[in-house]
Amino acid sequence: MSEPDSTPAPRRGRQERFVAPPDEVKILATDKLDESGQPTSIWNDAWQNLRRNPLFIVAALLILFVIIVVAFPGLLSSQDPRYCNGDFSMQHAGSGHPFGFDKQGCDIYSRAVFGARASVFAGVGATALFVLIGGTVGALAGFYGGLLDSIVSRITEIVFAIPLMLAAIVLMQLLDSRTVWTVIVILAAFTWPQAARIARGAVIESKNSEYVLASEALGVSRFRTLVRHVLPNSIGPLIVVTTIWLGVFIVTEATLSYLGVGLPPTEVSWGGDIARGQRELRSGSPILFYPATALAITVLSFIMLGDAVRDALDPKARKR
Amino acid sequence: MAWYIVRRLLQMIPVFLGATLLIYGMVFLVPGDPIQALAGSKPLTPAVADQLRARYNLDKPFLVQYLLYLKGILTLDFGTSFSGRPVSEELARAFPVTLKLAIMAVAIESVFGIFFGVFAGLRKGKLFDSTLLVVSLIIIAVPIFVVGFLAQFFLGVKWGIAPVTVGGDASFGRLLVPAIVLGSLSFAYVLRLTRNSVAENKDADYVRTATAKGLSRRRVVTVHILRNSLIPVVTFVGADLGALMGGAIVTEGIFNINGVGGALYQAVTRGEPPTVVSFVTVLVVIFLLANLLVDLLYAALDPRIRYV
Repeated sequence: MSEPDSTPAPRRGRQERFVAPPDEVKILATDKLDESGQPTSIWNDAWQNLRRNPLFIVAALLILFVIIVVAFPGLLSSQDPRYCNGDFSMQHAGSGHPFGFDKQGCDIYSRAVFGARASVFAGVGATALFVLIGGTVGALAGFYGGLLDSIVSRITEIVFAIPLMLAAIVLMQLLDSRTVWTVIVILAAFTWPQAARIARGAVIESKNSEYVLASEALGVSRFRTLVRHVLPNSIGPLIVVTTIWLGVFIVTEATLSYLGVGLPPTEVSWGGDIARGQRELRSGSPILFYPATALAITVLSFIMLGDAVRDALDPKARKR
Repeated sequence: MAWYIVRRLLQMIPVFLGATLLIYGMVFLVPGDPIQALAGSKPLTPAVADQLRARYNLDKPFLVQYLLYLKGILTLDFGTSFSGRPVSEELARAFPVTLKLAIMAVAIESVFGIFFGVFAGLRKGKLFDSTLLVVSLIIIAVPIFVVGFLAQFFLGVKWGIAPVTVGGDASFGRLLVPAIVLGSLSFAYVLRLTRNSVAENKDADYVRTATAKGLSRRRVVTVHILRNSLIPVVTFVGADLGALMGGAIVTEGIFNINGVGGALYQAVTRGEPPTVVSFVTVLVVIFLLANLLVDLLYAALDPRIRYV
């Protein structure tokens, strides 16, 4: 809000008043309430903050780029990532093949482009399940409490105690045919308690608010109160962890593929390509660099988004 | 206090049972016949197969097998692996190595993470803080196997300032680079946690009071700000010790460390229930004990926390 410029010149030499006249007091401007606009919600407020955050803009642009690569890989590469010709093995970059070829004679650039699909699909799928299961279970447990809450808390403790990588390796080893879907289900199955814990905490924090009391006093059913009033006010923390976990899931999928227990080797994925490129690094060829960079940029963009959203939703952190 | 510890230990029992049952069930479901795998390509007469099956309790129903296994653990008998050696021997060989590696990683990540985190938090929004945040984001974004492999290639192979692999000699010096790699991701998290916590606390009323009564800046930072900011950090580091031990598989594989990760990975691929479950059981117990230790540390950091 700009300050009024038309401040009258101060009158010197006369001291009949010790309090300046109202029209001279600049502070008056801040006392005025602008009642014409719509009341802003926390989401509106967060959006206003996000729009001006360079971190968010960079992250959003990167994510947009990743989405384009995932949806239309053909736009960036006309090469078939599965077309590998031994004649081209370890050839350097040439026209149409900006990154050169790997040991099997596959085009590294097109594999880096098409590899986005498997990684992002696994990450987004696992995240969706993670939020859906964890958010629902956590919210119900936090809101209704009692036996349900006790059971959910015990399950959470049990799953917390088992390291994610370990469980994933054991389970992936069990399965004869591994697809993106099995990766998604296993990653979500061993992490949803993390989402449940966050959702539970947030719901417990807001369920004792006055507006919940008001809603109940008006005779709204418990479930409707949860859905209409408690959930919208407690979903912030879940959104923040979601974007961060999306990055974690993409890294975990790549790690599993790298260890050879993730996606099958026939699938074009960054993790598998990094594992293959690693063998060539010993002989001085840096082809590992391309899929690793693609992976790092993708994960970075989601983590940056999470950071920006957290700052926007947390007015306490915004205060300087 | 003693009562609190007893109660916490009792609360661990269902978690322990649930976690071991879950892992035991998962490993039990491995397709294929472990006895056949044990025999390899040699033909096996049905009588010998049955005898082996009986020795490893594989002829009994799942729940009975689990209970027999549990009974073994409680008497500290972890059974024998399919190679014929007692599992406890493998545990005794692998766990000290990984425990050493994980403790080194936790020490590195806490010391550097808290140190840099405090400075970043005190200078929130300044260049130093922004640079560290970007660095931490990059560390989080690059997968650990890439970090590990690059560290091994440049420090070990190319420049020769660190051993390329650890092998049988798991000494402090040889484990240093692997520990840095293992702790790098958590370093980024500790840094960010400390930074946010310090940035939140540095303008608190009690800090102003401490400054106003004439305390030195150093004392205000270390005693008043840091101590109040450490609780979320300690929570994370405590849970991280268990997570790092289980998650060291990749790092141990890259640097060829004969620890839990390697032994476990082999046991999983060979489909050896007794070995896999025993390793996981010990990991779960370490995780639970580390968390208990953290909860006890809270009281040291914040005297307002009482155990009842």
